[in-house]
Amino acid sequence: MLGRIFSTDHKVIGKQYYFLGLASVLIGLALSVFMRLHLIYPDQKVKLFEWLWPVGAAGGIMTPELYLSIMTMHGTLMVFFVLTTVPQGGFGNYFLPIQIGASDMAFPRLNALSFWITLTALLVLLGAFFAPGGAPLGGWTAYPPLSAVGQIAGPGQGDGMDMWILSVALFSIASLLTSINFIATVIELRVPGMTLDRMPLTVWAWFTTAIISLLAFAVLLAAGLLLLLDRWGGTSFFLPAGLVVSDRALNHSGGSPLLWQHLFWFFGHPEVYIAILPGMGLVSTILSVNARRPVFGYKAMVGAMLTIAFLGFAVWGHHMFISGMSPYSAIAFSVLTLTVGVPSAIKTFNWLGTLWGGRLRLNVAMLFALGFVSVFVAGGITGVFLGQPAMDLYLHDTYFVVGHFHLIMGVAAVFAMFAGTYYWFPKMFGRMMNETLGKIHFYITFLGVYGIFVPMHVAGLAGNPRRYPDFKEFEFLSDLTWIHTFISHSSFTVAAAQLLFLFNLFWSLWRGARASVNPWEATTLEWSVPSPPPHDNFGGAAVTVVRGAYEFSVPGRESDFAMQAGEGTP
Amino acid sequence: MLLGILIWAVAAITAALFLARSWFPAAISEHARAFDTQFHLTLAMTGAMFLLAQLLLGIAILRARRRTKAEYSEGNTRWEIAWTLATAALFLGAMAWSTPVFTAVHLGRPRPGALRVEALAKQFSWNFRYPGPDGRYARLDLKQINDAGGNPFGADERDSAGKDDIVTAALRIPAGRDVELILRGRDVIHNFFVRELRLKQDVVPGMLIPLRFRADVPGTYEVACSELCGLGHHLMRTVVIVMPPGEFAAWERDAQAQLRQE
Amino acid sequence: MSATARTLPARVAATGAMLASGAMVTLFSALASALVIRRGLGGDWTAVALPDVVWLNTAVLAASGVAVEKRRWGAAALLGTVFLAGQATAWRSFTADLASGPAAAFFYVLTGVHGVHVLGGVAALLVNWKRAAPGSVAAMRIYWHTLGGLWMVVLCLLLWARG
Repeated sequence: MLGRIFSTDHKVIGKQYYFLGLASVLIGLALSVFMRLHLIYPDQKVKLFEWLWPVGAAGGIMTPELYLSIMTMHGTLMVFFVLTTVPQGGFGNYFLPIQIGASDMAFPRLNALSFWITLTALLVLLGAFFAPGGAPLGGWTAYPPLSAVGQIAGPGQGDGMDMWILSVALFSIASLLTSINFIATVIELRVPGMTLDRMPLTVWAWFTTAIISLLAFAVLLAAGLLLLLDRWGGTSFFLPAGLVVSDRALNHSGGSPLLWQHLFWFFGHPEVYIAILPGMGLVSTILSVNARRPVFGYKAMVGAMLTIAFLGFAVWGHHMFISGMSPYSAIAFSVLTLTVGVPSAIKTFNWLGTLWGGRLRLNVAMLFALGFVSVFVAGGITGVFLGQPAMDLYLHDTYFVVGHFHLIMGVAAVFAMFAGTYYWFPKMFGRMMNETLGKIHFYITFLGVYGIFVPMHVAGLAGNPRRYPDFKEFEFLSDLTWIHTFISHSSFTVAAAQLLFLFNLFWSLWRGARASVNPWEATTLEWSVPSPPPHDNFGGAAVTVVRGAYEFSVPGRESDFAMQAGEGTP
Repeated sequence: MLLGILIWAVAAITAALFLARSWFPAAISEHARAFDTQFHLTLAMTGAMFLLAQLLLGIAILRARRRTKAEYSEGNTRWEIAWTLATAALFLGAMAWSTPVFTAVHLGRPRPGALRVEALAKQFSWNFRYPGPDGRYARLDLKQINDAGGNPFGADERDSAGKDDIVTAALRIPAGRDVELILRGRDVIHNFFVRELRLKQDVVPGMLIPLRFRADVPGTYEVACSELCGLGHHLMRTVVIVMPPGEFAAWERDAQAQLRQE
Repeated sequence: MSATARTLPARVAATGAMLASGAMVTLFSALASALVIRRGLGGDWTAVALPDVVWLNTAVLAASGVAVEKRRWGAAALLGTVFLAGQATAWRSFTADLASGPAAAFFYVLTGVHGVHVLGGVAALLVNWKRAAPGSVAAMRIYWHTLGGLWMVVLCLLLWARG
């Protein structure tokens, strides 16, 4: 039993990451529902709030500080423990070794260690809710001085903030170890014949994402260390002279709050790509499999991914256009930002190119992949506004931004995770998920997320600032109540639809129809082995790869797909 | 099949919502009008790309089962080069086009005779101070900060330059005259945002950040803090009162008279 | 068949060490750029003297690098431990405390973060003391020499940051 829990098998670890992410996403989703409920009924007594937070919601009414700490925890959970964890730690761990023909990761014990550190990080983060003063309220970006001066800046900025930093530091360490493992595995453990130009785009995506993580999380770790020292050690990395907080003069001098923003966003922007690249790889594959056509412009897809990874490190300043940073830097960052939009557009066109002229099989995985393309366009195109410093002068920190990043980084990535779940569930658990329930789940979710995030854009155009616990103080915000009512009800609908998914997931685990080896008639290596695969993936057999990853409907062949795995010389 | 139609419907509703009305409040400055023009230009461009992409996606789905066998293709280099260059040109073109709107705010110089005002942001309120006829502010001494006593800036009582400094909770400015607002913070990061001016600027402790504008429509406009600053972030409100020049001069005279009485 | 008993190409461990080194270099680059920016802010940068013992420590670390080259794992681990003890002495004899100014703060941050990595290296050396697995020889060399190289960078930064 202990052997199974502390397993070093990448498939077990992949499932552990998946379920850790599932637990995190459910908590994060619940928190978002609480926020949407409070925003439209700020004075309504809610028994559940009081039961969960006897202090923060005494009498059932959520205090502003509780709202802000729920918001902070929602962001942190979703960004780190869902968007970073599930596509990479979950699916990547499970399928990367199989897709390149390896029997495990390069460093299996290190892999297990990464998972257990990640779990510890999650528990420390959730523990912040129980700290005196509650969870931190400064948002997932943790800008100092708010995050650096302790409890005098607000409840939750004391012990809760320390736990947040500790959690993020642990998470960074785990991510660094995972990245080392992923990169080494791809470089060293590919079987004969698995040349770079035959690698599935999923493998390219996990590989590229690992390289980004390796660089980005090291920087976040450094920033977190300096922030801790400002809090505990009396240093002044991020704290300037002359601070007077809650009528107390602080003894700091010479630091700069902007230094944190530079370090944080040097991590934070690439983090967006950490969240979305694995989804892009997976969607490319699912579209190709279900359109029965090769990926359109495979080399361009790989090139676009690498370009995104490279340019992604040079655009962090677009989060700081109105921060007081030099206007010249702002213009330079703006040019680079709009340039990084180009490879994303290339990918979109190539997805359309893959679909065009295909014979589509509209299973649930395919529906979510198509939904991904739709929301990726919707969320991505608004980046053209936000990438212009002139537009950011108005739109920064409004609901326009909230709508933008939720669609592109949240919903798109989650759609890819759903697609991945419906696509790979048969392989991971040996059973099929229910397609009818899956379709209902998809349609409600698809319409619902548009209903949530598109109206947010127009609220932003009206100037609605984000991170407000209620909208009662401002005249102009009272005109927007109807938008928020609509958004909240859409979000309740979407949240309810996820119960269908949960039911489908757990019901299928035990009651789903038995899965064959290759139910989708796909070509990559995981579909050549039993569902679920044996302990060392290939049963000790020597695997060779004889062709590229997307040979569908090749003229002159009888079958409309050809497996990558084959016999004979690679 | 259903999905194709839904994608079109969602795209159409999205476009309709953006165009249903002007979501912005009326512009009250040259800059704000230039912003609106640039916004609508970008909206036209991105809107067209958005609708085109969703249209094509919908068509691809609706044609899903028209064929018995998929058509084989690995790509089309000519098309790929074409749409890469087209998007690059559009995106960077939009950026280049909008740069003057940004640089006019941050690199322009105020015209002579500009009104200088200092803003102080703190958890969770705003204060403004005017240097008065001598054109100089009192020097600051943190120890003398006294919010209840009307000295949020911590002006040094001994400095005679401060005798004619006016400190207010709302920002009063004359219409048609350049204003140079110097943003000063003393605890955490805040943000000065006036929708009608289409301007937003962080207030960062340890930095003095100038913001220049000229409002030309008298009226009262809300200022909303737009950088998370703590549990009272959503309450951190003040107003900009844009006054006809004559009225503003009268207000300044009254305020000076009141100072002398005290 | 347990996963750990698999026969892996010897270079896998070396690749892992290269990647770990990459992460370490990035971590120190972040700290170094923070130092450069922080110093550029000016104002409160006060001069601090570097304790003389760091020169001795530098020699000890160099010697441990030679020991690693000669595959004397025990000797290398011992020298690594002496280096750490020497760094602890440097901390004690350092005249400024953490909160006294940015130059002092960076002294503690850079030497501390470096020390933690040396500690990890010493642990790895001890594991290999009796028998070095085929892949670990190259891996140890890469990791240990990266630490040595980073120490030289840290030393240069600290000399530059003195005042």
